[in-house]
Amino acid sequence: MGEGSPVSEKSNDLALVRKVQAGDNRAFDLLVLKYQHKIANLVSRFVKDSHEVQDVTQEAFIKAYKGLKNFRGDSAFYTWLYRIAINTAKNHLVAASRRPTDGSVDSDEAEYFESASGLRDIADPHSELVTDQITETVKTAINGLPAELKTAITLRELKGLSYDEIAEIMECPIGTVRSRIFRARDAIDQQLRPLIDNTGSAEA
Amino acid sequence: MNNNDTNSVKSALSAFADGEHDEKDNFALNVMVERACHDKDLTATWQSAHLVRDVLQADYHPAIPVDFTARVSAAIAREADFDEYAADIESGPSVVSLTDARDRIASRRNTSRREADRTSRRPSALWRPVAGLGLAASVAGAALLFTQLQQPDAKDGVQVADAGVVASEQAIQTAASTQQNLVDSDAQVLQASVRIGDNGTRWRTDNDVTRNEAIEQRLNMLLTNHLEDASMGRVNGMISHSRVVGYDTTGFQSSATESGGQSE
Repeated sequence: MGEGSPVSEKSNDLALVRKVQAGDNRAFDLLVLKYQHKIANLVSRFVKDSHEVQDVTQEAFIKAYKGLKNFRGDSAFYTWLYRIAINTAKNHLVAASRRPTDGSVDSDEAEYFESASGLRDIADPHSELVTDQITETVKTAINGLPAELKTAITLRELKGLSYDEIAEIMECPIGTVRSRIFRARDAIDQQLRPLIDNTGSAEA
Repeated sequence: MNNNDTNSVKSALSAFADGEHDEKDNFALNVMVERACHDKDLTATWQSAHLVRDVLQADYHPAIPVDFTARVSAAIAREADFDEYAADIESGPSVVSLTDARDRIASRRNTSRREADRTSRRPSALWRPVAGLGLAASVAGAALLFTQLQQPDAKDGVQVADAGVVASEQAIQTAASTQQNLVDSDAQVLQASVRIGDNGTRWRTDNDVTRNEAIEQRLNMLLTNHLEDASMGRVNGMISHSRVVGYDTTGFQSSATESGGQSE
């Protein structure tokens, strides 16, 4: 997760949470899209089988959805969601009569853990292929961007800098940074979308 | 929606994904979120933006399929249907026909916004009570069949005994008749005393003078096989049509030996 603007990140999530609480379940889809891979990575600290990771992640989101009506927003949504995911994963292990692994993490440190690159060995060949294709497409798309777009998106996504900080480094207005980041994402999306659509239809 | 408008909303959505939206402009924020929730193209833009972020920050996990959100939505819709149905059962009439239940669930599905998840690997939660009912009916049926199979056996204990008595009486009459013939042919008047032993499955005489071993064995063979056949006739189902192969063949063997000896 990026280092920039955690307060805005919190209000960003809260805006979607309030919509879900008002009865618009589509807003929950956006939260799932935002956190699905992060939660799966967290769950995979406890559960090693890729299918079980998917099931437990799904169960965590369902529990979050059910408990969302009681979420007051005192803590950040992702902290609350991570806590649910950890408890769901631990309960899954208890139900399967397995002990939690020693590499457990609590919700306070969950958002800071390094991504588990060692998880590659648990994925099935098809998932491995899709992962490689998506990763390669994103990298190729970024490398093909004009220099100013590439710099803006890299500073944002890899360095986690805020728009203010990027504007200062690139010596341009915030509006320009915003525009460059959007154009960079749009260009990547043009190449990524067909792969997502094909993969989605193949999995369905 | 024209291209400029779409790009404007996408740009706002991109900033929103970075937490860089204008927090003071709640109206614009709500409009943008509302459109992002219900416009497939904008939802795909949101998905792509976070997918790129997950890849670049090495958060991407291969266990999560591209259509994971649809699966979660379908699972939530299923659970909501089931919870609502369970609440209806608790508050409504206790007796609901399966047809009514299926129709009510189907009507809720039709009104649900969520698309059905065709790829879900888990069976529908809505079928759990139906499956449970089916399982209970199967167990009850098996128990009933078992009881029916057991009860005739209990009756058979008495009935076989009765059959044994009847057969024994018939055997006594047959034996008496046979003995009478022997007495007549030999012109001897002998008192034939007969006793029943081995719970009515065996016949033998005490009188060594009138005793004919071949007739005795043949009678015992017929008596045994008759009792086996009578008990099988009390069993329900196809078993009653089966026949027990006679295992007491000493009478036949003796008869055959005897007749063979006579022919020589």
